[in-house]
Amino acid sequence: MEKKAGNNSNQFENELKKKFIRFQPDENFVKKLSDKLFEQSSITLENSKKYLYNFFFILFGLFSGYFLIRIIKSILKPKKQEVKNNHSKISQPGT
Amino acid sequence: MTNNKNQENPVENVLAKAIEGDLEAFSVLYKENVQRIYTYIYYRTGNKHDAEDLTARVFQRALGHIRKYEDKGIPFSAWLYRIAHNLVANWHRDHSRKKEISIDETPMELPSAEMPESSMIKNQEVGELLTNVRRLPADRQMLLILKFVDGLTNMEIAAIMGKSEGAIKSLYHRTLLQLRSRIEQDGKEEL
Repeated sequence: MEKKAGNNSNQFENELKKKFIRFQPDENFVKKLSDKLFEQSSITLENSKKYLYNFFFILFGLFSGYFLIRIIKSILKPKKQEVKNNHSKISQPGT
Repeated sequence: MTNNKNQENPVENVLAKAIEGDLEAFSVLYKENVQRIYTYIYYRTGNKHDAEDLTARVFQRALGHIRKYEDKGIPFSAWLYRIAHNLVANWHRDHSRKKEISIDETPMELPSAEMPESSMIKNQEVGELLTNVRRLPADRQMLLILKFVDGLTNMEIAAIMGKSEGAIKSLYHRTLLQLRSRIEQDGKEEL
């Protein structure tokens, strides 16, 4: 009786072995996923370079702006002094 | 010492490189394991779209955490299976919330392109079997898939599932009995 039950379970196991199959994923999916996984690092590098480029661009803008303001100030300063000097000459006509 | 050991075993060498962050080494592990992880998820979810989505997430997560991986002599696939197992569990939880109809009751999709040699009848038989498999508890499903699809031994399955070999042996017999009685019950109901 036990032997029969054992045979039945073996038969059932063999049936299962035949029915369980390994599925093949779509080749496109495997390739796309591979690209996605292993091109991630290069994308990150590109992003970090872009970030650095933007950072230096802003820095350059700030410096050039600062120097431009200084140059404009230095050009306007002598003119202001000239105007002041002229005013002082006008205010002292008798002397 | 470890380097000599790694030189002797190319698989361990690849794994060690992957842990250090070598993408090429990880791509070797990816190629070796993508089919088995996809198959496992396909059996558990029953449809191609979710199987692809979850397989992608398994490898993305694995790549993100590879530096934390500790080589304890257990096959690398065991780690991937555990990630897949957790993601599938989350997927089932989310789906049971979204759908009123239990996902376990939906018939398994069996694309003919994947089994060109099989007839419609065989497809139906396999589909019925898989529907019954998917009604089993998650750990029993995992056991059957590892046993019959991957052809792993009880010892290897024990390492993957974090149980003793004896526990796997007894779980296997109980699973076969449960599955068999379900199939017989289904047969009687159809008659």
